[in-house]
Parts: sequence; C-alpha cells; structure tokens
Amino acid sequence: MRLRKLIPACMALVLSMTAPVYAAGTKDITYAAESTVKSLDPHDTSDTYSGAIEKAVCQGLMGFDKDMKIIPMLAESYTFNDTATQFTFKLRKGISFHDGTPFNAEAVKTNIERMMTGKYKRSSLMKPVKEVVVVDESTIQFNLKEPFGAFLNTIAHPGTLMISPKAIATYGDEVSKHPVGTGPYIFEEWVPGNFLKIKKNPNYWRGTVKVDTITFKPVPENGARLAMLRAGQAHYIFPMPAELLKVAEADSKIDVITMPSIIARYLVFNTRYAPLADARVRQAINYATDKQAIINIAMGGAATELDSVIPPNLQYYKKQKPWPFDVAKAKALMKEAGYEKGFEVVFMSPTVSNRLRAMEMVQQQLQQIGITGKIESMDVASYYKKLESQKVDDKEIIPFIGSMGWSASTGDADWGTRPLIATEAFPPANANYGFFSDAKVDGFIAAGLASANPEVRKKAYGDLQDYIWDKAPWGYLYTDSLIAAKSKKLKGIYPMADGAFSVEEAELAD
Amino acid sequence: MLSYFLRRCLNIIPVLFVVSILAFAFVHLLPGDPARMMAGSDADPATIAMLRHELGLDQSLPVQYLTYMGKLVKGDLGKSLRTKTPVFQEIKQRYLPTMYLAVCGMVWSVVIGVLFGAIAAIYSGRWQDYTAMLLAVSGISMPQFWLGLLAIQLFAVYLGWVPVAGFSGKFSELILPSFTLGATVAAIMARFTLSAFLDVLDEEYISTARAKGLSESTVLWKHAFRNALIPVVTMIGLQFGFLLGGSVVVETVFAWPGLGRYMIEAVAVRDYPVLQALLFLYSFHFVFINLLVDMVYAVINPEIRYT
Repeated sequence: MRLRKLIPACMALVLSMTAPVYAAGTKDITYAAESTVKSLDPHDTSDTYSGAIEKAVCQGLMGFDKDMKIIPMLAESYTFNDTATQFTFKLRKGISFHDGTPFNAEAVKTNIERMMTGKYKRSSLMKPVKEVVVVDESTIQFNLKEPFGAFLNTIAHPGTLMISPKAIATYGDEVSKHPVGTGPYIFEEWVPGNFLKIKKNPNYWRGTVKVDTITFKPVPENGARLAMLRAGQAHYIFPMPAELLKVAEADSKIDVITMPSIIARYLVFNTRYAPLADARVRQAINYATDKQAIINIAMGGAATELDSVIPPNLQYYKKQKPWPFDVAKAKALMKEAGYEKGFEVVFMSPTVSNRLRAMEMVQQQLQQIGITGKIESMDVASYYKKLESQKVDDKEIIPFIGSMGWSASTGDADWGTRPLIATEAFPPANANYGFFSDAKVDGFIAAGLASANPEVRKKAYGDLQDYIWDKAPWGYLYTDSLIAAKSKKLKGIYPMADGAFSVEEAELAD
Repeated sequence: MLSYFLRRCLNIIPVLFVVSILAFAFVHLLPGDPARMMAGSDADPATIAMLRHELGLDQSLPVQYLTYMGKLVKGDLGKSLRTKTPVFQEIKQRYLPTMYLAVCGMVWSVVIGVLFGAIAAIYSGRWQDYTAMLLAVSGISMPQFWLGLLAIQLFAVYLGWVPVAGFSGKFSELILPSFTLGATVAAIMARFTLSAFLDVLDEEYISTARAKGLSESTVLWKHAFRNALIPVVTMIGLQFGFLLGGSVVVETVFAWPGLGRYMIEAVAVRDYPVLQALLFLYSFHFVFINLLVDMVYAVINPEIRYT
C-alpha cells in the first residue's frame, strides 16, 4: 500500500524537475548543432561552427553580409593602392570592448601582431603582411610583402576578429575560454561538450539586441536534434537532416531554411599520367556521371549541380554550361582516346555516409564506359593522409578517382582555386591532389592576386573559369545545400553560405 | 583478507605500466595526422607544420613516448591537442555525467534483469519463463540508437514528459538515457541469471534442502539465489566496467556530455593525449572493478576467503 502513495509522489517529483527551465520574461534561445565548440579564440580556430559563435561575440574590421558580400564592420571605410600592397582602414569611433577597453588602431595592431607571431591556426591569414602601422587613433595601415588582391577577404574572415587587448594581456592563450569582443553578445559560460551561453550586450554599438541569452548545445544525433526542435527544447537546429525533411515540413511549428553552401564537391584524379592525363578521358567521365541522380539519392536532394570550378556563393563566380549526362558521347570520347575497352582505377572515399554513397554511384555509372574498380574507403583522417602522401614523380601510382570537397572559408575565388588547381599547390604544399598543371591557369590565378580592384579580379577569375571548365581537371559533382530548421517563433537567425550563421538580429516571439 | 587486498593493489602498478605502453602505441599507430585534423580542411602546409611542431609531433616516437611517460609519472595527462585544455580537467567534467548514467542504468537493469532471470528459472518452461525471455531477447536485439530514438519520440516529443536530450544536472534528463542504456544490460543480466539459477537448481544440495522439508521459498531464496548470485556479480562487474567507459551510442543519441562522446570526438581528430588518457582510465576501471568483484565474492560466500 505504501507503494501506491510512493508512485504519485515520485511522479510529482519528476514533473517538478521538468518544469520550464526558462524564467518568465526573459528571451532565451537554444541553438542545437551537430558540432561541438572547440575554441573561442578566433585567431586559433579552424572550424566554422566555433568561428560563427566567435562572430557573435567579436567583430572584425570587415565582415560578410547574408550573401557573403564583404561589408565594413569595425572599419568605416578603406582604401588600397594599385598594386594591392597597401590597405588602409578608417576605424569607427566610440566603440568599446565588453570589458570597457576602447577599440582603436592600437587594439587592431595588438591583434594583428598576435596573429603574425605564427603561433595560431589562422596565423597563415597574415602571411602576406609585412607590417601593420598605426597612422592615428582611428586609422590603421597594412603593408604587404607582395601584391595580394584578396586581402579584403582576409580581413573579413572570422579568423581576423578583434579581441580586447586587455583580455589578451590578462588571459594570454587562455583567452580561448574568455573571449572579449565588441559584438552584440557577451560571453557568459562554456562547459565543453555540454553547452555554451552568450548574453545580450546592452551597449551594442549597432543598436538594441532583442534576446537575452543564446545557448548553444551539441546534439550530434540527427533524430534527436529534430526531436528537440519539435518538443520546443531548441529554437534553431543545424544541420537539419535531409532524410527527415518530410517530418519537419509536416510540423506546423517549424520553418525549414535551405541555401547553397560554398562547398565544392568533385572527383579528383591523377592528371599527370595516363590514362587520366588525357583530357578526353576526363571529359568522358564528366559526361558519364549522372549528377542529378547522385544529388537525389546520395544527398537526399540537398545539393545543386556544380556549374563552375567554384560554387555560386564565392566571389567572382561565373556560371558555366553544365556537362549533360550523355553516355554515348562519353563512349565516343573514350574510343577517340584509345580506351574503348576502358581501364581499371581505384575509387577512394572517406567513410562519410553521403560521400561514400555518391562514390558508389559514380563507380556504377562509370562501369558503363568501361572504367571499373573497387572502392577503398577509410576514415577522414586516414583519407587525407593518403592523398597528401602522393609523390608527384611517382609513376607507379595507381590511377585513382577520389572524393574531394573544398570549402573556401575566405569566400574568395583565390582560395577556391589556387590551393586546388595551381601548380604551386601540388601536395604536400596544398590540395592539388590530382597534380593538375597548366601555365594559363597559373597565369589567371596570379593576375587575380595582383590587384585589389574588383573589376580586374572579376575578369581574371571569369577568364579562369571559362578556360578551365572544358579542361575537366575534375569530375564536377555538386555543391551541398545548407539546411537549417527553426521554430516559427524565432526570427533573425539565418545560416550563411560558409556554413556559419548570424545571430545578431535574433528575435523571439512570446 | 587485508594482505590479499594490498597485494592485489600492488599488482595494479605493472598492469597500468603495460597499459600505458599499449595506449601510446595504439594511438600513434592509427593512421592520420592530428595536426592536419586540427588545422582544418582548407589549411595551408605552413600552418600544419607549425601545429606539428607546437604539438611535439615532429619528434621521434621514442622521444614522444619518454615525454609522455615523464609527465604521466608526475600525474600529468597532458593537454588536449584540440582544445589546449588539460585532459584531466576535461575528463573530470565528463566523468560525473557518465557516472550518473552508468549507475542509474546499472541499478535498474540489475533489479529488472535478476528478477526476470529468477522468475524465468523458477517457472522454467511456463508462460512466465517465455514472457521474461522474450523481453530479454528483444532487449539484446534492439539496437540502442533505435530504442533511444523511439523513446524520445514517444516520451519527449509526443507526451512531453521528459526532456529530449542534453544534461544540465536534472534527474528528469537521466530517465530516458539510463533506460536505453540499461535495456541491453538488463537483458544480458536476465539471461545470465536464468542460466546460473538453473545450474544451481540442479545441484544436489537443493534436492537435499527440499528433502529436509524446507519451504520452497526458503530453498529458492536462501539456498539457490545466494549461490546463483556469484556468477551474476562477476557479470555485473564486467558490465559496469563497460558502462563507466561511457556508451558511445547512448551518449550520442541523447547529447550526453560524457566520456563516450568525448572519446568519439577525440578519435575523429586523433587527439592523442585524450585517447591515451581515456584508454588508461578504462583499463583502470576494469582493474579496479575486478578487485571489487573479488571482494564481493567473499562477502556473498563465506567459503571464499582469501589467505
């Protein structure tokens, strides 16, 4: 009989503990993400997710708007010289860091010089910089070692966010756990692997912040992440799993947001030795792959066909005519190149489910033109190690077709092309894993960097994209779409093409 | 008993030494470069080289081993390559959530498992037996992530009784994950108790006890149950050791800030110090639990007393 009394008592206890966590009257947002925060030191961060949270706390001289266009942030205006070796920024006046330290040219210098020590993951961004000069209280000047036309993108990159010089002095490298910036939110608490909380900055220089706190929680499992949104325990989830789209769309309390990313997915192959050295063979591969089928099946429709060497959301993108799926044409090209009977390759992919599925489809499709072989799959770390350890002069290398993805985090055409197709980027120097080399391509890339003038750069990268498309250095596949989902009560948080997001304008209805 | 205990404790030292070598070797033999993973997918080689130097990965393996052992002897587990935070501190933060989950999951699975097993044994061949074993087999066969997601859908999304996932220290957050975690263990316990019980029931002393005219309940609970418990306790110890390592699947499904997920994150980026420390910790758990189990034997069965 005692048990009968105990059960309701227990129930009451349990229920009392599940009572709403949020205090009345405050607006608290929960963001459930697949990733975990790794660091809060912008200069020492290499992942997009941590970078996006840093952007809510810290700001840079320049930034990106919703469409990845560069806009001035802490800088008011900028000028540069014709040779793209000197960039001068006029800073906004009257802005303070969260700890009260004034933001000025001296603070910029401290940050940039910290990066220039070469000790941080984003130090490489400052590699072109020779010196940084304080012209006056609100003017800062960068002198570069050589022309670097993409420098404005560098300054807009989340790796170049400004931290309070006082915080750097106080915490040293532990600033990665105590970020202090000028942004709309103030860092509050971080329990690694569990949650991270930021709160409203009441003195934000751009205006009023409309929510009180945002809590970021890592929820790695797709189903659980969506369940949190549906149960009202999260207001925004990213990524929204493509395989569960139907469930989300059927829920009247949820909005789904889709946008193209800046990730290029393609097949990489060794273009230095036969048979893949022959452009006709590579063109045949592009004709023989049914991109749309791969997108529909391997990506659950959450991708768009790649229609240039760089994805649409990168600067200076120029659309090309997509390669149609045409097996007859592919066969004819194979015959012309003398490979009517086909040849054997190794298909390689990391064991990431959608990439492996895509590779299985490629393997199947290429069978039709006689290109056959087994799939070798391995975890991400081993996979890149394998691609990187190739030697350029190794004639014994087995012809391979590998799965490749690239996200140019500066949003600029230079970082979307140079590391992948320039001769200087052969591994181990960078990610030109197919050893593609073409003097004209190298010329366009150099021209794009020689000036910071948008017209000059636009022409260089436009010409590059026109020229290289038919050379088919890769098997062009697709650009991932980013899918997020949010509660209808929430407004103003949106995903950005680089995989980050913006929370500055977040608003929560009652 | 005390000297036995002390001897067993001393034995732990060489075991842990061997473990330290194995952990180091295992972790460094994994293909893949931590510096590459830390630097991000679009990093330039200078950054990777800088990181490799910073992390001490440009030194020879023996030198790296000596550095690692030198620190370990002083009780320093090193810093996580990924977060640059001391590994000890990170493990400390994740230990309690995993511990709560393991203890909670263990308690209910042992209670249910042993009860079901005993019922199945006592009513061997009858409907109670079949029902209990049907449930047990389902428990073993049902993948944890599936069970977990079903439980989330039902109890958290539709009924809204408990939170979906995450852990901020509230008991309500423990219910679903511990239930999911315990389901497999309960099933294993039930099967194990059943077979141990049946073995004991075949023993002659049970027939003797019955022949003496003892009541059936005395026979079952005083004679059979106590003896059947010995292998069951071994099993409990082993299972608990596994649970303490943090269940990768349950912690992932329920976004639990514990050791299992920590391990997975560390493997993905080849965070050497974290992996070494976790392997070390897991081995320590098993050694320690084995010791504990041996002690419990002695309590359950006075005949087992060590000299």
